[in-house]
Amino acid sequence: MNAVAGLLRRIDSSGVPQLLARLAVGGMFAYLAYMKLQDPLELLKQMHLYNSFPTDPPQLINAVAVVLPWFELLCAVALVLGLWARGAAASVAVMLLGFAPPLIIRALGLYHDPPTGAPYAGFCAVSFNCGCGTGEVFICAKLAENIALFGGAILVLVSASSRFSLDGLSWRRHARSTSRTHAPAV
Amino acid sequence: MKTTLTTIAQMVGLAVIALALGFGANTVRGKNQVHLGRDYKPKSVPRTDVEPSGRDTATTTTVADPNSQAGQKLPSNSEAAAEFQHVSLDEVRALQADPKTASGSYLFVDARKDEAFEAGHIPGAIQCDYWRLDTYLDAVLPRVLGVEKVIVYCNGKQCEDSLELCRTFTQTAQVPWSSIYLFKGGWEEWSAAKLPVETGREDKP
Repeated sequence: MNAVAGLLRRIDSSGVPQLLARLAVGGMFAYLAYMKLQDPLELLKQMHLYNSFPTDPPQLINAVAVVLPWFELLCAVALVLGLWARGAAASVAVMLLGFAPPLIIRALGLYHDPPTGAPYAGFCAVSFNCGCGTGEVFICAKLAENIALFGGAILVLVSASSRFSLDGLSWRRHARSTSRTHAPAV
Repeated sequence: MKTTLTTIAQMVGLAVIALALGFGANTVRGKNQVHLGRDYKPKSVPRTDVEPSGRDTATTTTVADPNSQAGQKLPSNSEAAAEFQHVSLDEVRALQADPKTASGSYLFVDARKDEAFEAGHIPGAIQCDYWRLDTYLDAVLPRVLGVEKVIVYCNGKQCEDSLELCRTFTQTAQVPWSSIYLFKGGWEEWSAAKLPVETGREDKP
């Protein structure tokens, strides 16, 4: 057991798994944010179709549609650069957790009451524009994608490594300056 | 403990920067600006021109019972069924071919956005993107108020923009309920039936 833990620690300390997770999650979120930023009104429209977000007062849902893509973009940039990476990873994880229930509720609604009248072949065959920035998606594929992104965000969050990141650079600088300050006089 | 606090502080920092960027960028957006104070999905109000018996005062030949459309379900927003008169594809086809459409007595209004409208719309339709009313409403309202019948459509059954636009016409612009017709099948039904299509922008009113 200890050997496995030791191996995992060694792999993690290389910084490579964290870097790959940061690039994958950050890259994906940057793309999704960019697509949403093209047309925030489309995002707002899709949010209304979920019927899961509070719409009274309307300023609340409008503000979310305005700010959410920028928040996603900032998290993506932070992850890719490795600056405030833990905060960005935690934010991404919270967002993904928050998106899951409305996605599932809407898909269930469509599954039980298909808009075309023709029943779906199965729950996974339900497709709709999720407002995620990628247009129409199949629900199971979308959920699998979100689970993978969530896993990546958690990996960044629990990783002890700070290699290949600006966070690591600033820590090293801080440590160096501290050690110089407290170095015993020779 | 320190790591947790640092993580939370970073999350808050990211959120604050996103708020500033989001609101800042929104103010300089043109057509795609989200009007923060606008209620994009107002609650429906009961019709004002329905007799106590529930019978529609409008002289209409339209489908009052959506179930009569073979193989088709109720509109996704069930309120819409009671709220507005529905027209089926066949009825829309007949209305479009009616000389009154050419003479301007019947008006088709497309509630979709620019790219969709320009890619193809029902011949003679004018555009009034529900999400960009500021851009369109001033030009569209005089035309809607001056015609006998207004047929409103958007993308299709999953789309509610045509319904919301009908509500805007009747509730905020006092267009008579009796003149409004909702084509719930929308562009999807029209284009699937390989009916005539017009592309590009309409002639500006």
